[in-house]
Amino acid sequence: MLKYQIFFGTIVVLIILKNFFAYKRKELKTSKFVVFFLFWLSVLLAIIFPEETNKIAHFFNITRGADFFVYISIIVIFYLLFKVYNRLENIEANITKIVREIALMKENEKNK
Amino acid sequence: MIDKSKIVILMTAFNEEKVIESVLSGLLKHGYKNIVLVDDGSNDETSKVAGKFNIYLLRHIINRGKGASLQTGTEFIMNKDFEVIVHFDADGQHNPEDIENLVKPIMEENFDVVFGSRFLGTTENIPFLRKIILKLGIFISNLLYGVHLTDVHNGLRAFKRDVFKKIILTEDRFAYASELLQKVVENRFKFKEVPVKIVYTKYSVSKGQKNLNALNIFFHMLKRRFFA
Repeated sequence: MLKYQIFFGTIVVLIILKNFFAYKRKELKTSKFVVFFLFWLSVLLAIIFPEETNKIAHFFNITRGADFFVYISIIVIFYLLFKVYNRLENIEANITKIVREIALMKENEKNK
Repeated sequence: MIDKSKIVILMTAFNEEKVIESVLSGLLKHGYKNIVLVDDGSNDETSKVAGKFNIYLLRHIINRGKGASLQTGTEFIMNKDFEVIVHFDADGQHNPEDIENLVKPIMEENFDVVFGSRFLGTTENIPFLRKIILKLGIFISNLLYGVHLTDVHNGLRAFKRDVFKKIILTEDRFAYASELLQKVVENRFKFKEVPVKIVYTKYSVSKGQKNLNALNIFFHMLKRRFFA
């Protein structure tokens, strides 16, 4: 096993363990844990068997497995950004609603 | 003569302690007794100064933006019996004498919305870059919404009360102005522009929206126009 495989492999194993313990403490839903587990397991397999990723890449007419992973990562990152952006917008809107309610409530109390 | 008791002035203020007194005095002196001021989480004495006047004063506990404040004020007004709502800036840029010209088309010609236009009227000391950005914004808005306005991001405007039964502002920050225009067009409200005078002072320029904010507004306009 090469040095980079040991280094990155250890990191991924630690992440999987962290998720597992979070799941045990019931901080993570089963569905989320399964998705995270499958994702990080596939990353671990790609680190241990890098040549196998070439086969998947060839299936999609991409020359190298590493390139295939970069493309997938970009798509995943953009998807996550989009999700975070939407969640942020919802939180902002909810904060405004609360602030508005308080302002209107206080004014109504003044007039009672 | 218009019946000023049917008109309510809606203002929003964020850290305007230096000018709020003169702006409120000016409005009251011109006979506009119904004023709703939303203090948008100011951390200066705005609320304290405004509290000396006999007006409706609402306060956001934290800053949520001009659009959010206008929506708060509107929801408050919708429980009252006023017929016309006038948006008026708290930074001293607007002239109370223009209100009558804004309101007349609503009260006498049955218009639903009247936009004040600084480019039909006059502007004093407008910074060159601000003028270019405003013109570009007007061009883009006209293109996106299929209208022919001469001013879009002018805070001086008047509405028939019932307009806000159909319009709810969701944009918290300065992008609210294009949202407002979009909803006026979508709901086929009868609107027109009248000339108004805007005076730019060092104070109002420093308090107003930053030029770079135009990019943010543009992004929100596109998002709402094509993805909302």
